[in-house]
Amino acid sequence: MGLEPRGLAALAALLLASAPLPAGAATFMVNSTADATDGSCGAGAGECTLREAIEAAVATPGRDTIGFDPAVFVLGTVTSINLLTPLPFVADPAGTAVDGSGSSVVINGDPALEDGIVFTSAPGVALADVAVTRLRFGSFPGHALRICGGGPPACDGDVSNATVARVTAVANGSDGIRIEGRVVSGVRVVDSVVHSSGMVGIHLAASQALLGARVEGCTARLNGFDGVLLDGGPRNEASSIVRSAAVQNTGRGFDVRGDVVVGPELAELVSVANGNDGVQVFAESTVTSVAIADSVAAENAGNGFEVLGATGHTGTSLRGVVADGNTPHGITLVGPVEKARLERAVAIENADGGIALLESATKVKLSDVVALGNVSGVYLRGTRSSARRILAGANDDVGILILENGSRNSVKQSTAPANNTGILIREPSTGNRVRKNSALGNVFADLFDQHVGCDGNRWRKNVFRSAVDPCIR
Amino acid sequence: MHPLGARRSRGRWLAAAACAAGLLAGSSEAATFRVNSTADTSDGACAAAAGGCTFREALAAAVARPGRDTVRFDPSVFPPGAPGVVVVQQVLPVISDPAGTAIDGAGAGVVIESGGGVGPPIDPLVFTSGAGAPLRRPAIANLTVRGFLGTAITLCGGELPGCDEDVSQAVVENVVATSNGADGVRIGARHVSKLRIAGSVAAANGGHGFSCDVESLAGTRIERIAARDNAGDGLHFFSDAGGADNSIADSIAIRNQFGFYFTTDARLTKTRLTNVAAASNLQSGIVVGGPELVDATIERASAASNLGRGIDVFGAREGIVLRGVVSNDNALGIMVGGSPLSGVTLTQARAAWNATDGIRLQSSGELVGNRVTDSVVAGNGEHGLNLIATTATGNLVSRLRAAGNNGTGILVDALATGNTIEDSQATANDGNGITIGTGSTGNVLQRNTALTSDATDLVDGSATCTNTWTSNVFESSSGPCIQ
Repeated sequence: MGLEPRGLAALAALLLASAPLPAGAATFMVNSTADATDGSCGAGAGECTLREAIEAAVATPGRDTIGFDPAVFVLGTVTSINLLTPLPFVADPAGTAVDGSGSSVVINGDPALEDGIVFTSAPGVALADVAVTRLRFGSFPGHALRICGGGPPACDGDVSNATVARVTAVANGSDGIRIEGRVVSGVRVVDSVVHSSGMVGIHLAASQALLGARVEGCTARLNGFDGVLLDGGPRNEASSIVRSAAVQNTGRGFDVRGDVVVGPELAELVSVANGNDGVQVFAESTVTSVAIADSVAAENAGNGFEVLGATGHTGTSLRGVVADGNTPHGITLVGPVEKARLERAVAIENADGGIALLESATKVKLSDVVALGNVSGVYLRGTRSSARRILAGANDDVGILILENGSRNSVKQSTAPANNTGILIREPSTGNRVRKNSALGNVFADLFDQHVGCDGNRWRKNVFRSAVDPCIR
Repeated sequence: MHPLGARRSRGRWLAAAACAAGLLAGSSEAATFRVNSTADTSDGACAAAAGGCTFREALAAAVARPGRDTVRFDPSVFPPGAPGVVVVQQVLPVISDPAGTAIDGAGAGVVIESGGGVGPPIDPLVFTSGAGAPLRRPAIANLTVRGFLGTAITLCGGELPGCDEDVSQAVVENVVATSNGADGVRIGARHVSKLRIAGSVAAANGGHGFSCDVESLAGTRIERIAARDNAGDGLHFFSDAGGADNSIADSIAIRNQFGFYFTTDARLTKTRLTNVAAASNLQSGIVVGGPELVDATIERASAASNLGRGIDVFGAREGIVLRGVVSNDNALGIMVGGSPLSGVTLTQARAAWNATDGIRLQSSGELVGNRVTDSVVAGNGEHGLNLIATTATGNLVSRLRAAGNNGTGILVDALATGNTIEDSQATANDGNGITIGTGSTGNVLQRNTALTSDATDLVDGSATCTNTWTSNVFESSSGPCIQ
């Protein structure tokens, strides 16, 4: 006969009381703004500096927490820790949490320093569960916040499940927030702001693979390179950037890249006045299943939206995107594109194409698109693509253009008014269908097939006034 | 559907019957006259023989007959794709018939062009109904009118110049009016009802692209129009006494004065703009309003690089909805004004890189019960969202993101009572993050994030704890009770 349940509970309680405390449960509370160390993080007033708290956390195995005394770091009153010498690395493979919740903490660098807070494990050792919450970093010559699998400079350990939340980094010399490792997985940066960094605002980098990274609710402004860069190295899989803004960065607003990029999700982004592309997904090799939705890219000195897969490009979807005033293209898919879908898009006054498929494309579906005042409204290239319900007007050159070697594409139920040429099929494209469109008020020609006799292109039931080939109807 | 609707088949039958009989107009009611010459001469008859009917003769014949006649064009003379050009040397007859006349180039390619220096007519195509009579069902479709000194196409209820009678069920479809000295298409009347303008282009005209200056306007449908490079507005619709149930869809306006200008001096109800885009106009891109604007919806509209406001809605009273609108790089992104201003729903809007505010709701009096939700304002030259009024009561700002604006992210510049700002972000703004005005009470500001403001993240203009701030994320604040 066994023990009664109550007896089991009592035994368990006894065992727990007599066991050593589990490693990594310690919390160290910073209660001083000074930057000094006497080797201990005391509980007395002013007895624990950030430096001492980090030393204590590093010395204590397990996942410790560093907090900040709200009586010292009063919420709403900016309270600064001005560092005089480099902080020790927060070196613990189990991860450490630094949490400024409920307080206002600013950690300031100095020209003599390099990075701000650096989390590490050990060379080649994985780093897990780092969490940084509610801190502000400023004026570090290097990176403000760095989470490095293994240790710098190699950062050759894996990083998993790191979370950076409500962190701000302003006026740092290199990246604002940088998370890097061999395989970087499950990393999240949320509700954070990076402003005036010398390099990238938020930079997630992996030498082997970036898996499931998520940037959400972040703002990157006036950084010296990209606003947000997710670089997976050989593989970038299931990255997402949502509800974020990139404004006036010198490089791209949002950049997701890798040799192979699979399944990135970018939604509810605003990318404005950046020095390069507004939003880019870039793969040295193939890019698969890109989803970009409900986003705006305006006045960027690069393409508004660019999805580039150098050797292959499958399953891209852009829905509800707006690209205004970008140089050169508003929305462009680069590389051999297959099975892409672009719907409810607007491209206005971009310096070249509103929507441009620049290389071979197969089965690309465009629908419900407005392309206004670009050089050309919509470029199609390749085979078996369709453009439906396109409104391509007042573009300087062509409203809807099927480029050279296009075949079996269709343009249907679209309107191309007041361009130079309304709808144009370039030679030697054949087998394309242009039906039930309206092209009026175009300066050179409403409809133009460069093939004499159309050579297999079928023009039917279009509304137009001028055409450069009698086979056009 | 054919622009002239069911009349088309009847017209064809009539034309065939007329030709078979050697007559062009064999009925005492509607007849079809087929233009088969590009010349601009008249021998007084529109004959079926080759070259026997000029455009001028067809118009004269149609005017001479009562009933709703149709003028069509012989595609062998006016081939589609290589349009036949009628070079007009003298003033064309006014198309005066209260039953309306249809001029339809369907199946043909037709250009009506000014003869230049040889006595160029001022307004080439003028539809009227005569003194005291309304004009019903005039239609013009499928042709181009270009190069005249005056307005290309005029639909005038009554007679010129007053145009003080009604116009109903007018159709302008697949028409191009380009390089004319005044308006491209102009409707002048007392009341205009069930006007339809579709698939048409007005470009490089000296006046407005599409113009309608009337006493009242009801049941208008404008769709798939393009207005480009007109010296006046792209579309200029104004009614003295108001309007109801009017819509504009799938249309564009670029490089005009105003892009779309749809206003009244009275009450405008049930106005709907869908999928319109206005860019690089010299003034505002899209303007809708009047002293009393009720039940208006602007949906999926885009305005970019206009020198005035991107989207300007004024006189808003109730039932005003802006959904999915985008306004970038204008003098001001989205402006909604009224006094009082109430019942506005602005959702899923985005306004970026405008020279002043991204979104502004403004009243010289009260701002009551308006909602701004699920929107983004970024990189604007002044404030992201600016609520300006004497008093602001019961307004809601929810899930707004204001990032990187040169002024304050979210500003309530009013004596504010009972407003809610929640679940919003104001980040990296050069001014404050969120500011609520001096003397404000009973407002709730909760679950917002305001970070890295150059000035202060959260600012409460009240010196005492009269507002409720809870669960906000911020670094700096000005106000005793912010949390």
